[in-house]
Amino acid sequence: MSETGASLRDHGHENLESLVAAYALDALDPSESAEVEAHLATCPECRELADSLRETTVDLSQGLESTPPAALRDRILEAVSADQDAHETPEEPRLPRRPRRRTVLAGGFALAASALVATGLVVARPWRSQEDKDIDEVLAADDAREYTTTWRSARITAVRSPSLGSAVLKVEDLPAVTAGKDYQAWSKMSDGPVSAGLLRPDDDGNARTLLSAGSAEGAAISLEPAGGSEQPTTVLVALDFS
Amino acid sequence: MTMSEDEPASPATASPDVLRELLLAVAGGDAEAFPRLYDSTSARVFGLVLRVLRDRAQSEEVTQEVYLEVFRQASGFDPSRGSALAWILTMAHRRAVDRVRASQSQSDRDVAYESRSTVELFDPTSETALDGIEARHVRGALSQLSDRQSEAIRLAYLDGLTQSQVAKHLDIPLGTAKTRIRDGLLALRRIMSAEYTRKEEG
Repeated sequence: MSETGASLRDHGHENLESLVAAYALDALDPSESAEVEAHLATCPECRELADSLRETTVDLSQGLESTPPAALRDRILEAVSADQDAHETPEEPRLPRRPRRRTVLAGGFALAASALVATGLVVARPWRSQEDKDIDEVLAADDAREYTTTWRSARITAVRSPSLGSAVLKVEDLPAVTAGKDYQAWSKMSDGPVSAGLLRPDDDGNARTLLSAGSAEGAAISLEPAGGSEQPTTVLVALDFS
Repeated sequence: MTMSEDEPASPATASPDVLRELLLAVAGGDAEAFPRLYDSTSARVFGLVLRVLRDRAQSEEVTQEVYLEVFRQASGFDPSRGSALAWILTMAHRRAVDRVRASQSQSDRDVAYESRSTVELFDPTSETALDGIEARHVRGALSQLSDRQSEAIRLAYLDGLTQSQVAKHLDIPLGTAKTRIRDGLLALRRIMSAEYTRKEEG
């Protein structure tokens, strides 16, 4: 066996395994946490460890029970029931047979536009609505296909239409980014990632942006120094169009 | 508010099986399951969030976010990977910690991200109104660890510090903090699984 290869691999695994406990306690900073999550995606052993340590953390808050006010219960049940009405059947099969009506994420177009501005492309105001129209067109395309994943609290959806040669990346509930950092969206092309601009989630953590890359093989979101980077620094989550 | 449910099932009485079935029912679109799931878990969620944030108004906001997320993501719950309570408390803890860290960065906008690890919003060892709860709590799971391990884990999990912040707070090398956190949690897992085994057998 190849000594070097094995020890290198084991070293990486051991390093990451040693971070799993801190990960289960949410005691890592975002870049370390993303590294562990990437490792968990490919290492069943560490995933099992993470799951079992998460189970252990349940005991850490035993004895801290505090009944929330009844008014909060009312607010939450109301919010959930409103949410239910807004997303009629979220668990339907993903292959669209007809264009599905979608909730337009408030402020989404502004975010997409600001993302372009932030990456150095000067975008005139009227373009915003054009980008928003393009996004809606992709979402409603007959051959639109959804790819979904989650990262922390966020639900990440890419919707791709081969006929339009375009794809849209949507995020919901993305945690607020720490100061000095930005989220950046990427199209995964065969020869490497291409920036799709910064993702600036609104107060609810929602954002959407056009990937506009017909030949893209996937999409990704990374954590970058404020203003974004030429190449992804820390990939938080990736989706493959396959 | 429903008066018939003014005595919600306490988490102690809602068994893991019941919670799992409730969460799966929520995932399946059962409209009646959600309020029951809320009643069986909200004291745990709110208690944990309140401990991390130490602010009732913010804790109520975060608790609401958590339950909306529970509702939306319920179909992502995989019972083969863990309990429903662990799944819910994981979301609650992440959101609480995200909130703590976001407010740290807001209150400290000018300080670069990398150097803000010394920022602390409170002294976790100071006397607070939560002392009664804390004292009761400390007799639980954490009391079975060494003082050092228990302290490191409490700072990380209950005060929401990163392991670098734990090291700074305790004025110990980062490597030492990492070791205490990891060994402490692994020890706790051993202790707890031994307890469960004993219960199962008994």
